[in-house]
Amino acid sequence: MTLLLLLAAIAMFVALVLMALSGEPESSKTESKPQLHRAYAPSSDFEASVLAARIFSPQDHQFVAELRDPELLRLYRRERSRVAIDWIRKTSGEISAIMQTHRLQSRQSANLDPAAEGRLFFEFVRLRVLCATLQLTVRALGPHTVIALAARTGELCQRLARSLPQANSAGIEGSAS
Amino acid sequence: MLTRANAHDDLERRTLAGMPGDFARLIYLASTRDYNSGMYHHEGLAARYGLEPARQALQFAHREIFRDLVSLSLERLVAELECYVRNSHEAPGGFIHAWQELEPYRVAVPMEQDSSAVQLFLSNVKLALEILRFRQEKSQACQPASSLLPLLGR
Repeated sequence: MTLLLLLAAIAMFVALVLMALSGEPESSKTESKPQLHRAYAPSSDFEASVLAARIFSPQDHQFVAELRDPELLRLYRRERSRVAIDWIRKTSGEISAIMQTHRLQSRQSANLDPAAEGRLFFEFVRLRVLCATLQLTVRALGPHTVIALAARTGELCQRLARSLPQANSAGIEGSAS
Repeated sequence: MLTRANAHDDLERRTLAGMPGDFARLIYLASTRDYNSGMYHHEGLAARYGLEPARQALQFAHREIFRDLVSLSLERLVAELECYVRNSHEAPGGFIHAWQELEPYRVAVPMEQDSSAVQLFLSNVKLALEILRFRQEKSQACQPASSLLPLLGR
């Protein structure tokens, strides 16, 4: 019985992770006027860690909580979770784009280093799992609870982009912010 | 490049420095951009430094102010918006209502920005407006006879 429950819990977690990893960014389906921004090209105006620190800021949550208005706090949580999940999905999508670019380049490469490729794949999986964990935690507890994890994910994503020159030349690096 | 830097310096010193807060600067810079072409234009700057350097200086300043506003905490953004409301000389209630209905801040966003930064900015302004409205209503409930303008600052 315990084993069955454990298996069910694992299956549920995997299903949630898969659910979190799939789907379009929130901004592309819920915003009433998204066309204005969807076409914007990524820019490197924002450092990944700075933007993550703002989106997942515990200070902002504290500020709204101190106003002692349940309606305001609800609105804040809804708004900030939407922005946070959008950021996570975008970051996750960029990680996939970096890897796809790398895979296409690797097919034409004559001297592949299996150890380096293995490390890269491990990094890719780690980042995708981080993104899924972030998304689940944001939904369950709110964005203000995962600031360190979000900043780390942003940094790792940028590091992955920098470590692959072909991803940089494809203009992906700046968009990790 | 030097001309663009000179134009930017001129813009900062003569025009932007005199404005009360970054929100006023953002709205002003967005108003120098043509809605149809997305190109910036400033008669005085263009006459002094040329069309292209003036355009680049305006675009650069716009991006800079936007980045500064996105980097602010929600508390400081509320203070910035409050300052802008106070200096608009409009009735705060009417101003907040109009901004919540029309969302004019959407067109104040520079082009080619990170989509997450744009989302965060729009969401934060929406929240800041709601916070100002909440404060205003609270103040009105406490002192119904007093003026709205000074109450917004409390």
